[in-house]
Formats: sequence, C-alpha cells, structure tokens
Amino acid sequence: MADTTNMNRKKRAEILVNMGNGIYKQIEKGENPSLTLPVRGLSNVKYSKESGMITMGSNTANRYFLNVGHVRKFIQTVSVASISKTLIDSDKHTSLRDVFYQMRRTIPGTNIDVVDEQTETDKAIEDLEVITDLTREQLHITANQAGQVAGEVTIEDRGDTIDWSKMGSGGWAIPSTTEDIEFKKVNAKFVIYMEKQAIWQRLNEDKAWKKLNCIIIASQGQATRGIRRLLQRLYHEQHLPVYVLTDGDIWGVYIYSAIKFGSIALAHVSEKLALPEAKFMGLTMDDIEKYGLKRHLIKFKDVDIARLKQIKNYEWFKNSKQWMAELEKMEKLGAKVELNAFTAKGLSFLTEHYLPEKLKEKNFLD
Amino acid sequence: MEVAEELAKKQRAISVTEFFEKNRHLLGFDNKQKALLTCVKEAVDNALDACEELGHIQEKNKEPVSLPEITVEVKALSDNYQLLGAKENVAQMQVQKSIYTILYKGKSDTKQMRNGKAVFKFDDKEFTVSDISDKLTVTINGEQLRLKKTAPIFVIKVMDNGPGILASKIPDIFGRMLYGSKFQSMRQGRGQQGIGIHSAVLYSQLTTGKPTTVISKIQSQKKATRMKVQINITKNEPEVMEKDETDFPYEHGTQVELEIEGLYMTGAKGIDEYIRRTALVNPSVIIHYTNPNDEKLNYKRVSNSLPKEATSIKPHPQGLELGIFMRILKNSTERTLSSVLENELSRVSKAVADSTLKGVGLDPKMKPADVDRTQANSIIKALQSLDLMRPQTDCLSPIGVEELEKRMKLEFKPEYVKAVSRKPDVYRGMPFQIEAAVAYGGEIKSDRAILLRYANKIPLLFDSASCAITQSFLSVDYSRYGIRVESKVPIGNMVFVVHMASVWVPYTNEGKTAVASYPAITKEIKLALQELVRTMSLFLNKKHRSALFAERISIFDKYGSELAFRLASLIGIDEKKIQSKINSLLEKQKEAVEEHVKETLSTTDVVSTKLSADSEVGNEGAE
Repeated sequence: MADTTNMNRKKRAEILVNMGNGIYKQIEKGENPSLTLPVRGLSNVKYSKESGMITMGSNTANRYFLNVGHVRKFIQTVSVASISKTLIDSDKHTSLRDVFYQMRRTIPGTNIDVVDEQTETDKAIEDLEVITDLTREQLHITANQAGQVAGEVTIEDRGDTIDWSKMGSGGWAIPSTTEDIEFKKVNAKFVIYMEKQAIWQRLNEDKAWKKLNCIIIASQGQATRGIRRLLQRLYHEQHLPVYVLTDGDIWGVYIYSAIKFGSIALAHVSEKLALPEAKFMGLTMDDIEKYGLKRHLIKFKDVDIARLKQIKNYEWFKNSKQWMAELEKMEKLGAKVELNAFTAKGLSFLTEHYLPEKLKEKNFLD
Repeated sequence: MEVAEELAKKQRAISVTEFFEKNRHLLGFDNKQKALLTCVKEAVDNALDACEELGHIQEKNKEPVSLPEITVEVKALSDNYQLLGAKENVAQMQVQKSIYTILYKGKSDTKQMRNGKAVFKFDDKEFTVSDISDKLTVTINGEQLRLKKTAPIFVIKVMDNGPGILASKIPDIFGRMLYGSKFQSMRQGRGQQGIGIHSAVLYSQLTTGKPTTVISKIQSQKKATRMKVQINITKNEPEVMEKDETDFPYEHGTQVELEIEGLYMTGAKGIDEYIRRTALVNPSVIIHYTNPNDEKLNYKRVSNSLPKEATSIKPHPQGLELGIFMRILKNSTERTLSSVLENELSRVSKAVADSTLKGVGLDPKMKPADVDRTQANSIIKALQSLDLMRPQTDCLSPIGVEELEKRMKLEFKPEYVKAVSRKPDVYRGMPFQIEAAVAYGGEIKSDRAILLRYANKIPLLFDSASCAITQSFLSVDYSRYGIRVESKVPIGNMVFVVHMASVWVPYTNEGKTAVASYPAITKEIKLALQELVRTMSLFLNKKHRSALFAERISIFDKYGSELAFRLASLIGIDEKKIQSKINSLLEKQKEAVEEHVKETLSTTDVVSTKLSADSEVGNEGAE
C-alpha cells in the first residue's frame, strides 16, 4: 500500500518535472516558452447526455511567456508546479491559502508582486490540474475545511473511528479530502445536502437525521470538492439517494446544478465530483403557493435576473422540460423565497412538514 | 476712459491733485505695490509703442528697421518715514545710507549726517535729525516727532531706442494730464485708454516731490535733450525745472526716470512677472531688466521682424452701441445724417445709408446733431437688420504663431509647445482675434496648468476670476482629451497663453485688468484652447505610449528572473544557468517582443490607462 503511494508520488513529481523540462528546452532553443492547456470556460465545456455531466471540450490554447497578457499567469503556473513538486517530494500537504503565501513575493529588484490575491493562485492551481491531469489533492494542495455532517454513520478516518450521530451540535467537520475515509456502518436511507448552515443547525437540533433516517450535510453556498466527492461516494458505495435542499432562487438552482452536472470551472474533474443522480428538493415556485409563502417573497435584483437568463441558456437545463418550466415560472414571478421563511410557520416546520411531505410525494425536480 | 474724461471736464475748477486722489483706483494707483507696477507699465508700454511706430515708419520708407531694445531698471532708493506731530503729519523724511532728505510743504532739502546729527532749516521750522546708537529721532523746533516708517522710494528708469521726442513736445507729453492722441482712435494699441505716463509723473510728484527726468534724442540731434518736468498742479500745466544736453547710448530714443513711493513684491502680480510676460508676447523686443534686488534679467529677441502694424478702422453698425453712436453724431464734422453713416461707420454705402434712413422715416439730409436718442436707436436697429459686409479685420496686429512658440520655448524650456491663431472675428462690430499657446513639461515646475492672459500684448495680472479668458479657460472639458482636471483646471506642468487683439478690448473695469465676456469672444477663446488641447493630447498620448512601452517591455526581464528561480527548483538546474539562458532568449526574441508590445499598445486606450495599472497586465480574464 505504502509502496504504491510512493510510486505514485514519484510519478506525479515526474509529470511536473517533465513540464518544467519542456519549458527549459524551449528556452534553450530560443523559442517563446509556452504551455498548452485546455480552454476553461463556457465555450469549451460540453454537456454529455450519456453521462449526464459537464465535460471539458477539446479546445486548447497556448499560454506564452513572451506575451504581455500571458506572462503573469505563465509564471504563476510554473510557480505552482515548483511549489507542488516540493510538497510531493517531502510528502507534505498544504492549503490553498498557504500556496498563495508561498507564491506571493515581490520579484527581487522589481516592483512586481507575482500574485496579489488568492484567486490568482487558485486559478493557477486549477490550470496546473488541467495541464498535468493531476487533481489538486494529487498535487498535495488541500482546500479549507468547510461543512459538516450528521447521521447514523460510523466511519474511519486516518485510524480514528468516528460516529456521525455523536458529534453534538456542531457535527463532524468534513475534511477537504474525503477520498480516504472508510464507511464502517451506515444506517441511513438517503442524504440531504443543504446550502445553508442555519438550516443544518435547525435540522440537527430537531434530530431530523434520526427522525427521517438520513444523513444531513451542509457547507456554505457551493459544495466544496470534499463534500461533492463524499456525496458521490455515499451514492455509489452506499446506494443512498442524494437530495439538494436550497432556497427557491437562481443561486440555489446553480448549487444543485454544480453537484449534479459538475461545474464549468472544474469540468476537467467532473467524473470525480459530479453526481447526475442527485435530485432537487429545494423550494420550487409551486411550493410558494402550496405553503402560502407569498408574503415572504423577495424581489429579484438585476444580478438575479441576469444570472437566471444565463442559466436558462445552459444546455443541461435546456434539456429538461421540467426545469425549463420551473425557470420560466421563476422569471415570471421575479422574486425569490428563502427556506428560512418556514420559521414563520413554526421552528420545526421544515423537519415536521416540508421534508416528510416532499419525500412522501417524491416531489423532486430532476 | 470715458468716466475720467467726463470727470475731468466737470472738475476743471478742482485741482488736478484732487482729481487724481479721487480717481486713484481708476488709474491703477490704489496701493503702493500696484502703483510701482503701474508706473513701470506705463513707461514700458509707451516705449514699446514708440519703438514699433518708428519701425513701421522705417518699413514704409524702405529704410533699415531699428528693432526695439528696452532697458528697465527699478532701484530701491531709501527708507521713508512720516514725521508725525501731536495732531498731524508734519513732514516726510527719506533715508539712504547716511543721507537724509526732508520734504516739508512741497519743498525738500538733503543733508548728510555729521557726528550723529543733521539740521534742516526751512522758512519757519528747524528740523534736527539725530541717530544715537541706532535710534533715530527727529525734533522740530525742539519738539520730538513720532516716526512712522512708510513705503520705500524707488527709482524707475525706462530707456528705449524709439524715435525720440521733439524737445518742444516733452513738457506736454509728460507734464499735462490727459494729453494724448490715442484716446478715441479705433485702433489696436497698448495704451488704448490714454491713462498715460503723466499720471505716473503726477504720482511721483505727489509721493516724493521729485520731478521726472526725461532724456530724449531724435536722429537729427547731436546730443540728447535732458529735461526735468513736473505738473503745475493748480493749472494742469507742465513746468520745466531744468533743461540741458547730455549723451545718449542710441542714435535716437527716450529715457524716463521717475522717483516714486512704492512697494516691491515678487510673484504673480509683481514687476518681474510683468516684464517676463511682456517679453513673452513681444518677440522682436530685447528687454534688459534690473530688479530692486539688483538681479539682471535679460530677454532675448527671437524675431527680427516687427509685428504687423495695426491700422485704424471705423465702427461697424453690427456692434454699434447707442452711446457711442450719439457721440459720433454729436462730434461729427459731416453735414448730413446720410454722410455721417457713410463716412463715420464702416461698410455703409451712400445708397444703403439713404434707403435705411428713408426706411425709418428720417431725412437723409437731416443735421446729425438734431438726431434724438429714439431716432438714433431706430437707425441702429435698421442698420443691424441689414446683411452688411463684415468689418475689415486686417487692422489687427497679432503676435504670430511662430514667434509665440519661439518665445515660449526660450522662456519655459518645455518639452512641447504649440501656438494657434484663430481667424479674426467680430464682437459688437469690433474686430478681434484670439491667439493661444501651450507649453508642456520640460522646466515648467507647476503641477497645475498656469494661464497667462493678454489683451493687445499687455499682460493682465489682476481680476483673473472676472475675465472672459479665465472663464473660457475653465469651460473647456479637458478630460475629453484625456487630461485630468482638478476643479476644472488641467493637472500637469503646463502653461497656457491666451491673447486677445482688438481695436477695442472690452474691459470689465476701468483698471484694464480683465476682458468682458461677450459670447463671440468666449466662443473664440474656447475654440482656440480646444484646438491646442486636442493637438497636445496627441503628443501626451504618444508620450504615455512610449512610457508604457518601456514599462511593458521591462516586465519580461522582471518575470524572467522569477521564471529562473521557480524553474530551478522544479527541474533542479542551477538558477544562474537558467537565468543566462533566459537572457539570451530575450536578446534573441527582442524584435518580436517589441513588435508584440507595440501591438498591445495600439489596442488599448493609452490615455485613460494609468501607468501604475501595469499590475493589470496579464489578468485579461480568459476564464
């Protein structure tokens, strides 16, 4: 076991060194050094009907050192490779934030900072992933922990046995990498992922996971890679259906979309993260009528409308009549409604009425 | 100077002194600092006009032209005291080194101090000045006086190589108030309003009691005439105190020497600045200037040709105002109303005059003096409704674009200079022409644009805010040309010059310090400035581009060293070795890189791109 990891590490380091050698050879030849990478962005992602995921297209672009517009990103990509190589060699892991600090320096004798914001290093890391076909985790870079889980599940993580039903009010904090955890005992029929901490707190206090016999997972907004991988594993290895619980707005729809189809920015790792079988159990436009939430509508702002129009154009939504109808309704209404609105009907309305009814009626959007 | 003229007529009985005192502010003597400037200005303006006049006559006679050369010397002469008795100002005292002068009842006496004491005897009084251990005391008939230090005395000397003045004319020119020929002529000139040198003579006399010394030589004289002139203040008649002959450095020319009380200040409203600005718009003139600090400031000649001669024109109906027309009617020597219109106005023919007058029901043969205001007004209205030819504009004498640029180059040593000249236009029937120039960068120190205003080649130093030139300057939208502004004033080290030449400059006040805002004038000024700024922005753009080019080219060197550093640790090759390979790469690809950077510049709007924003380079957002 340890041997293969070591082999893997060596191989991974080799991939990075090869990339560096390629650049060095170009320099030696007096050629403009360049890196070839798939174009990332809406123009180069495809929705595959067969797999039900967003996958990366075949368009590639060259990034040149001797180009005013490219040079900075070029250097950032090489820098990440160099930092990652050192990490792999010493078998240490570091966070996205740490990589930012390792890369962040003023080039000696100049007034240029190699990076100004973490978003730049984050992007450079994603670029290195697509160039080398290695995941961030394989490059020994981890994300910040975000999100927690509760349910009647026992797992083993780095030798520790953890019972998700005995984690108190905070739940078990989901690590940035969920690849290596082992499921020991799972007593749950399905999984609910929610976008809001406050809702998770509510459900955890209500012991909803016990009452409904499920696993509840939350992060903040978009699900992290660790959570997405965890959801995928729970579905594939434990055969638990996954439901996404969000507000009735366009942002909630996109959180669902990223979990189900994968995201545009991470199209290159869709296979490891996307879960086409996930279903939407968030607030629908019909629910507003059904649960009498009209008083709680919040009018759309310009950004909401713009995002809605964008999402309506995504191929993977255009494919679904059900979703197109839902988005039409949303656009017509011009307003959103939050899960928190249920609080007006009683603190535990969600646990006692909304969720059981949705499950009973199988009232999901797919 | 209508007001002063009328006042003078009404007040003949009152002494000239009184008239002067009442109209000090109109004449430019409202304070000691301005008084010094006014005296210098009057003398210099006269000198310049005289020299140019001579040159133009020489040109006409096809004689060799003697180009203007002017020497201006302003010296601080003495400390000045008021000697105060119990109730009143008794006398004045001037001190220069250990020489003392006392002015008492219009008389003066000068003594040197001996053994710490000087005694002055006038008819009824004896003054004793003593200076014991640096404490100055003055007694009058034994009674001690209080000493109040007042403005110091200055000697102003202005010399020119103009035509000189006939000896017989000197007393009238310098010694009689409101003597002059420029007064009513419709012609571009410096001393448009006839406040002349005589007011400076009078001011000198009133503050120091000294007559004015005039030295003048005309070509045919062997020696120059020297005269000490003052004004008989009760009769308004010249008095010649002394007259003799002396040597003169030029074949012809005039020197005026005035002794006045004043205050010397440097800065935007001082004499130094006035001289500097005068030199700037008189490219054919050499000025040797010595200021009260004994600094010699010389202004070179940059043009060997005199500016075009300004000629007189008659008023054009389009701008005729009732008051002026009434005066023309009253003073005209023409016999009939019709011939007044034909001969005293421009662009009115006999046929037009007759038909216009008939049109308003007036007899063309009517006596001009019989026309009343209502009738005059209807004549003006009728004339103005006609599509008459525009007034002739060849009567103006602009500075000239080339000359202005040369002068500005010399004065400001800028990186960029540009002058423009608008076509002559007309406001209220008066022809005028706007010239403007801008100098940028180089040795100009200011971080905001400086505006220098001129009217008929005279620098305007006061009342900037109420001036049409300033107002037009502030109305230009500089940001449209990529120039940043702060409270409407362009940011950057630049100097703007705006010159208005006109047969009659409409000043806002009697002090001739600001141009009135007529729409035609402000429009022309604005157009001239816009043309300048548009052209300058092309230059600035180019300059910014080259700076940006250098900045962008350099990033490859800078990022190159980071590439060496990171690559070294990634592939395990010595950083220095990689660096030297990168250096040869950069050398080899130099041309291609330069070409590439040039392309990036042509696709960006450089003016709006701040140089500091190069951290944006590379963040073009491919995602």
